[in-house]
Amino acid sequence: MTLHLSIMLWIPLAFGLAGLLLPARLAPKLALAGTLLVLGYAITYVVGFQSSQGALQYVTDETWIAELGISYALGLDGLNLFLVLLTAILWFSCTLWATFWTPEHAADNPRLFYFHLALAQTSVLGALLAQDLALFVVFFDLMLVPFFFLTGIWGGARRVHATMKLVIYTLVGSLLMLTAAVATGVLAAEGTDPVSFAFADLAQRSLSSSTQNWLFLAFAAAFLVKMPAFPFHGWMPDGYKAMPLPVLALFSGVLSKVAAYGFLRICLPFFPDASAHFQTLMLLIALASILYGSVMAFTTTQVRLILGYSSIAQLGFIVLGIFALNAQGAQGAILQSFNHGLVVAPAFFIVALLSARAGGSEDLRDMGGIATRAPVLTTLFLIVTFATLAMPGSSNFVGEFLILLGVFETKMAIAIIASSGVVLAATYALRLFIRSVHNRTGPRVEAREMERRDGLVLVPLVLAILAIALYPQFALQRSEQTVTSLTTPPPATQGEAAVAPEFQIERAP
Amino acid sequence: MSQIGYMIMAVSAGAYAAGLFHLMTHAFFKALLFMAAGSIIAAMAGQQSLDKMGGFRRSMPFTYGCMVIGGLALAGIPPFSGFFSKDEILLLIGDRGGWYWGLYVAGYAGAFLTGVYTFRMIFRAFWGDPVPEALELEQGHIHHPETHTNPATGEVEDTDVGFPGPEHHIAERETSMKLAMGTLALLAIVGGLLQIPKVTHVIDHFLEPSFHESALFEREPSGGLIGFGLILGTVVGLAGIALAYFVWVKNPGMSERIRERSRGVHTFLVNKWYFDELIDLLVVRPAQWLGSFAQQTFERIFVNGLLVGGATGVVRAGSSAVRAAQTGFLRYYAALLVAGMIGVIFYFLLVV
Amino acid sequence: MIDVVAASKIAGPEIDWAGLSPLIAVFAGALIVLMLGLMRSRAIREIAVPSLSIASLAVAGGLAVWQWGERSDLLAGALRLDELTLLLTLLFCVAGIATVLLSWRHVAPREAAHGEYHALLLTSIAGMIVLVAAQNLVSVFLGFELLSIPLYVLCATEMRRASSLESGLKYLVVGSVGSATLLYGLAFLYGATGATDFAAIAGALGASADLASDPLLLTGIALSIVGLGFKASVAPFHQWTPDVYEGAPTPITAFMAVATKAAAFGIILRLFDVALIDVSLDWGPPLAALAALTIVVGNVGALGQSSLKRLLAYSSVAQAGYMLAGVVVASRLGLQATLFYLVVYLVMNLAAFAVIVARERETPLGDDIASLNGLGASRPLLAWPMTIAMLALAGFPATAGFIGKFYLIDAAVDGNYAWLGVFIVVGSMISLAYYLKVIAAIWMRPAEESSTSAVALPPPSAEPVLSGGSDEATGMSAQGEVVGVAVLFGALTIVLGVVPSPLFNLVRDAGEALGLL
Repeated sequence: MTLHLSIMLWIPLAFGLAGLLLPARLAPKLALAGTLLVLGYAITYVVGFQSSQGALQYVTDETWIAELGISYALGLDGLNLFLVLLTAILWFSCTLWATFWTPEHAADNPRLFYFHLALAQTSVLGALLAQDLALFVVFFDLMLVPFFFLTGIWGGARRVHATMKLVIYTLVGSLLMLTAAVATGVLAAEGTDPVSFAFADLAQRSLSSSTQNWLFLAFAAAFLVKMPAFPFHGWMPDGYKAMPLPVLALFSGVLSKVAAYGFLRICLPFFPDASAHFQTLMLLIALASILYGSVMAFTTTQVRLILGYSSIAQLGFIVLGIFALNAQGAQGAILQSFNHGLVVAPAFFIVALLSARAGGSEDLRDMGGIATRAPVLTTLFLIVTFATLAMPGSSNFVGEFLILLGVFETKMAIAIIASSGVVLAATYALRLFIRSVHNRTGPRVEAREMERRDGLVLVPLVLAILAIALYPQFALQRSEQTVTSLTTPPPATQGEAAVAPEFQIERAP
Repeated sequence: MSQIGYMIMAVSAGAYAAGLFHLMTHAFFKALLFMAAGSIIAAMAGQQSLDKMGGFRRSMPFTYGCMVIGGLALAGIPPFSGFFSKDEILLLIGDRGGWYWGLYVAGYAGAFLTGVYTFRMIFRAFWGDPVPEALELEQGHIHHPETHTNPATGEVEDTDVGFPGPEHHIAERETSMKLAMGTLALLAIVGGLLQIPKVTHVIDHFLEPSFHESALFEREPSGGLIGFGLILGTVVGLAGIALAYFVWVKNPGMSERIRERSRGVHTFLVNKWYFDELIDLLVVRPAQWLGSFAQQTFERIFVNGLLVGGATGVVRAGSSAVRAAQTGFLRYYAALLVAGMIGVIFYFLLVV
Repeated sequence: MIDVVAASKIAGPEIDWAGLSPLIAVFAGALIVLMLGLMRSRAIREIAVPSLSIASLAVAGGLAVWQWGERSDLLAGALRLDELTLLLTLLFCVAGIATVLLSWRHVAPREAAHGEYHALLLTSIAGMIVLVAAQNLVSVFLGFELLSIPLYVLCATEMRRASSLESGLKYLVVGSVGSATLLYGLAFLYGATGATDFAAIAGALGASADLASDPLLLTGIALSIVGLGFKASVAPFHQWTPDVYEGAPTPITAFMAVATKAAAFGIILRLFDVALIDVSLDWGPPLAALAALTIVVGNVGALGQSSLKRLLAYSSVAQAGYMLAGVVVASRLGLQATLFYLVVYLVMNLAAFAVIVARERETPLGDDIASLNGLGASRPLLAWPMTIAMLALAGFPATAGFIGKFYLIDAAVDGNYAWLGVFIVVGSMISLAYYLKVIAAIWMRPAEESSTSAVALPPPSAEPVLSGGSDEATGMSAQGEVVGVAVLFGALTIVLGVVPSPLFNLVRDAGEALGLL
């Protein structure tokens, strides 16, 4: 089974290169075929995953650069399994969307567009699958390159300024992470051990607390800027306004999750002392993100920014769950990462549809009242909205509940304040929904139902949302083992376990 | 709202099955009541105000029947479902003892008021003199106004973009409505059979797997309390209906006289205890202020100005300095080279 | 001849012809090319002379490969033949070949006479080989001058362009100051330790502890740092770099950026890691401070530039700062990291400069960034190498530049200079602003109208072209060699970014040759 992960990893790039060299009319089909293959692989992995095992599965482990101790190691476990599935699903949907979008917006060089999309997918998959710290950093930094081009070449107004800001800001954090990664490998190998960046080796070695602290901060800087978290979100408004929508759906849906995954994969296992030391700080940052993001989301009228700020808030919840430093919080965070990605991509697609029906405007004040003429669109939008605000019955509710449960057990005050974030989520989600499809029609609106090809993109995503809503245990069960071994609860909480420590959603009798 | 209060009171006191039972029965009779209300509103061509309704008993018998069934269930009159569910809640509350007796009394007071308001609505809408719309309906014609206006604001409707439009459907004429309401009426009548005290325990058994570890779950109240509760519930409900009958049927004009005498209280209650205004003041306004502060001030000054602008400003300043030093004149280059050389020499001689 | 020497009882040095063969090949090539350049025939001058230069460099490179693995002293200890020398010799030969290809159709050789142009180039390369092989203070200076003086002339070869002459003159004057400083420093080192041989100097320093605080020695080290730092474009001795790089003919700029820096770092490594290794704790911190300053100055200086050559000049200053971090740690890992980065740096820069040369001939905009506008759509064969080069210089993964930076940071952290690693990274952050600006010009800006029209080729005897740039623009096929260089080095950047192991092996051998810890 050793080859298979590499195959899934490199298929997108291979198809992208082929698309670059072959005639332009083949490029969309090749890109779509590539994403479909990856989706097939991802589903196979998910189905074939052994939930009872906590260790890595489908492992690849080769040496890449022996002199530096960098290995080409890939593997799947509870932490990245569903993120890989999310990547596969979203890339397929957004590439399909792109095939409608490019004839109008990227007619000058579609082959290059699909190449960059494909390169982005390979990079993201690489970052998720990597089991070597240097390899992770390679793919993490590489992820940004295709988005630089996608935004800069085919974006909206002020795209060059926006993409420069976005890339440079993100790389400020990521480059600090590079130094920290090198330092981690070098400093962990004190004495006669050869330097190695493989996670398996790093897990065996330890670092002093003071070293861990600054390394943790450097990694945290990279991940917090990527998500983005308050107050490092300065690149978000311009970036989100300038990106082409199919690209933005992928960016918001997947890339921010890689950052959250990075915390779980790197910071918690390799810098445990630092994670505990900075726990309160991270929880406060998460809380600030939730509150600030929500407040901005329900006051802005730019629809893209509503979704952007709501992502800040949602990622705030995910960070909250991660830094509860216990199993429920981490389980909730992983589930919520999958959920949020699955919800935000159709949301952006719907934004595109809404904007097309409001004379091209993306301002909420220009929208309204299309529900009567576009009932199917409204219904699908409603499902997505309910999922966004974590309506009980959706998987997002389960995720948020687990997160809050996890935080309640460690820092109750923060959890109580964070719970208000749930209310705020309802505020901005419903505001967006109501003001864009209900009430009177907006001044520039021409309401019409969505077309069949729009349905091809939207319906599968909504079905996926419903599917996971019906059975979130499908995801929780597969991440449970890994999470439990990752977060051994500190002695203090074990005594007070009034609620069952390994919380599971029970199946209905 | 008030029935939800009963449910939450039940669950908080550990009467899980009772709460769920009331949820279930409430679904039946409340949905039935809403559908019936919709039927009347349709007959009134969209007018929802009770002040304008009256005397629909003869023209809308089916709707009337459904509303009465629902009302009786809501008021907690045996053998309707609401009676059993509400009583079970109050029974288990009383069984807790101690300060829970206060809740017990409050619960029955609420039941009394429930009877009053439910039958106030029924008597005002269906009894008394028929209003013009009712008379029109007796002739076999549903009232349709000339231009369709929004009853609340008076705005002229634009049916093109989704207003209800001129179609009005009443239960008497639509089979689908009759089917739905009939089913609910039936359930409202027989639903109570699921959980008759000491006889049937369907909901209890259903919830047992989830709650079997709870200390409060397996309580069996005494037979005396059960009997007392059943009788009290019936009496209270009937008393409420009687009061409603007295005020709104027997003595027309009495409600206006009461309103005149207690104007202050009436205004307070009609304005929903000014609760909406309170929420607006305490929650909505601060949130909006916070939002505009974040948008206008914080984002602009701190995030963009300080963090982003500050960093780029420092770098740009450095850039200008370096480029300014490139004067193009050799003498300055050589001078700086010599200066650097002296600096390095001094470092080596003095520090090392 | 050997008989005569033996017969006259003069003890001449043992001559290892095999070991000296690369050097001899280059010298011979220079002489032949110089002579050949006197021929009247245009075909010989314009075709045979460059071809012969390439041939001699190729031969030298081949001989260097043949000698790989040898570690011996040449010419009675004046020069050292080891993998470090041979690796850098190969580097110089590659740089030289690329430069000849880039100047094939350039105006500079035509104005300065092909023979002289190429002979000077070859001589400079020979000087570089001598410099990096030097084991003796005198050889150091010999190599230093031998490499510099031809370069002074080469910078001025585009004689009708004022800025070219200016750059040559500036280089001459400032370079002389630098050489003088270096000589002064070397003299002090000799005075303090009593020996000119590196091994002997190291021995003297190791033997006596208070020699390390001798003011004569310390001043010598300081002045050597200044002199060599000048050559390597270390701040604050870097100010000649932007002006000279911008003014010189672009192929020469490329050559200087790549080969001169390699030569300077080669001798820095040898001098500091062999001769002065015992006092590494003394010269480490000041060099680290200079490295940090260089990184900052180089990166912020490049930010506002609109001239590509000036931008790359400042960028080379910054890259020198990065490489200095490998010197500072005075360990084998640092040595290897610096050498690795030098090779990678050659590859990245040559790709970039090749594209600049090509665009200079196609547009009247010279080396302005605007000459790259719209390149992505119109000339992908030039757009991709430049993009890859910029991404590599910025240190993006999947390019050789990333591996190089990783290696340098690794060496820095390992040598307890983690803060210098942070500086490297901060420098990279700042550098993103200008590298990405170049990429944005290629892909995200529409082409300038004037760049699409082809300018007619002026007959050779007509009025000289005064503006800096468009001498000929006859379309892509006529520039095949330039585009070829660009594509080759662009591809190599990616290849080395994905499979760097061969280069790692080469560099490891060089590291072992010096015998550091």
